[in-house]
Amino acid sequence: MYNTITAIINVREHKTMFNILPLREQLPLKLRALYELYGYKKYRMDKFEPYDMYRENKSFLKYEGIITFTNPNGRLMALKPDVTMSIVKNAVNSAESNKLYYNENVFRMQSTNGEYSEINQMGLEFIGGDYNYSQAEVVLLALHSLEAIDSDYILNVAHMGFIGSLLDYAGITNGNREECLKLIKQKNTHEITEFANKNYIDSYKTEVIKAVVGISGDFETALKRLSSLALNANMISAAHELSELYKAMRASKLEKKLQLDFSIINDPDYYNGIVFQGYIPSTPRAVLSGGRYDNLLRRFGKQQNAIGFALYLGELDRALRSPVDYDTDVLLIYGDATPAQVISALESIKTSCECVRAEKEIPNSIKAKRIINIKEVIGNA
Amino acid sequence: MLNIALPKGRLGDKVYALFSSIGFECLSMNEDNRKLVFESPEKNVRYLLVKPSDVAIYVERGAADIGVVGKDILLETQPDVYELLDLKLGKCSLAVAAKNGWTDDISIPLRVATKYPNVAANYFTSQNRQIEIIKLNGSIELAPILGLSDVIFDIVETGTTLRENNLSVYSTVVQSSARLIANKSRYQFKADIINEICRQLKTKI
Repeated sequence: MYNTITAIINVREHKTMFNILPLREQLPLKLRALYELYGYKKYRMDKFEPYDMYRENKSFLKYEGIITFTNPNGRLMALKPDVTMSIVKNAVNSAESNKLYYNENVFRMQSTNGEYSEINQMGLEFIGGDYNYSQAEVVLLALHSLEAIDSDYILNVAHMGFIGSLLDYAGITNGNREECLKLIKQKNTHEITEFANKNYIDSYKTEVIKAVVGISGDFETALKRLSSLALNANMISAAHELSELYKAMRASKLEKKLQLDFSIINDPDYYNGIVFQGYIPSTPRAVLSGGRYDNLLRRFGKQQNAIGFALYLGELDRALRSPVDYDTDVLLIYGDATPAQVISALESIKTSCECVRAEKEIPNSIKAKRIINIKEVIGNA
Repeated sequence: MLNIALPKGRLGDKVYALFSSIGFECLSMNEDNRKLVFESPEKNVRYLLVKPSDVAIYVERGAADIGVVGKDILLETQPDVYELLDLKLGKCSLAVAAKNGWTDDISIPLRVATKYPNVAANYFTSQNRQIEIIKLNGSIELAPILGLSDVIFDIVETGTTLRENNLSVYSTVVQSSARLIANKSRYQFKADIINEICRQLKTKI
């Protein structure tokens, strides 16, 4: 049997071997190759971390359900619900950049029914390094990652600094800022009007907020529109950063996949600068989400900047499923034949590189493209 | 093909009339039958008729690209969708109502019968009022009459049902009307057509 397997391996090219894997198993391998190509190192994380770290930064995780337990020393531990935070905690305060990627299973408790779930997450982080270059490289890798999933994809980009300055300018401060951000995320311009009336926001500033929310489509046109809406130095510099990013992506000829859209803004307590989200047509939610999170590093007392993204591989399980029409190519029915006869029959069929499943009689639960009775094969031989 | 989820019933009929007035008519919709999916290949649209409270689920999970749903349901289920337009149809309010002449006894938890347990809980929490929620699925007005609850938290359109059951509005909490919603991923790939629909619908409301 060993000879049979090595024979098959020798016959098939590496590429064919890779293609045997279902798409959703190919993807993490493709992405690993991509990240390694750009010099990223794999980060390996412990399953358990002290719970305190997550509790202090609960809103970074955007969900409540962390699975906790007490260790023998009485310390409350968490089953890792996230990787980014652990990378940030362990990042060394140094001027040199740190490029890491990960493929880890994280554990969460679903808010709906309290069930525990295990989620496969892949992502990368660029910590430290040059501010402008790091975001160009990370956004480029986000685009390449999406391309590895589906040739039809879109990466929405926005800038937290732009929206933050705009809200400051309009006098929308801590108390009602969250409500306003929620409406922006929903593209809910009719309720932004109501919100502005209720909070006595200047009507011109309200119109600017609504105009920013309404921006979508072609990046270059959208960027011109955004620049025309920039009301102060911070907003102008944010628009400039987006423009620089666009120029950098044009060098990779992937700029057509970028869109400007402010509905993707994230939690301003952690994120600043550029944020982005990736979509493919076959999933109802974003499959990639990332951004610059210098604020999270400050919370951990680190001086570096950081930008990164995560891919929600769970979202892709369904989208990447290859259609399953048959359980096997060939079903070999051996009836009363001896094991020796069955094995020699398999030997003669397997040269055609098909999947063969040997069964004594036709099973009800197995669908096969072809059913061969052993008598036909032995007869031929 | 653009998939549009509409709420079955009166509101859905009005919304369909609105969509056909901007050029998205679908002749098979006028036939009197029990089909739930209506397709117009020439207009490139497909209408799905679903239970009003399910519209947001169809859109959030991408079974429909866009849909029309009451704000009351959006407040209750908080789906992760875009809310693009207020169609100003199916206007009503979410209100607390009780038997005529009822007075609140704040020393004990208030028993609230409702179809909207989340909105009700949020509202009473914001009022610092301790409550006990009784989730019902219909004929909410019956609850205070039979002493099942002290008050009801429900939608009020004209107030006729309340009046006929000797109930009256105690406080109005929030206004509701039909909203156009869109799936966040589908919107990215069909933004042109969806934005065009919004633009044209705006001229009709």
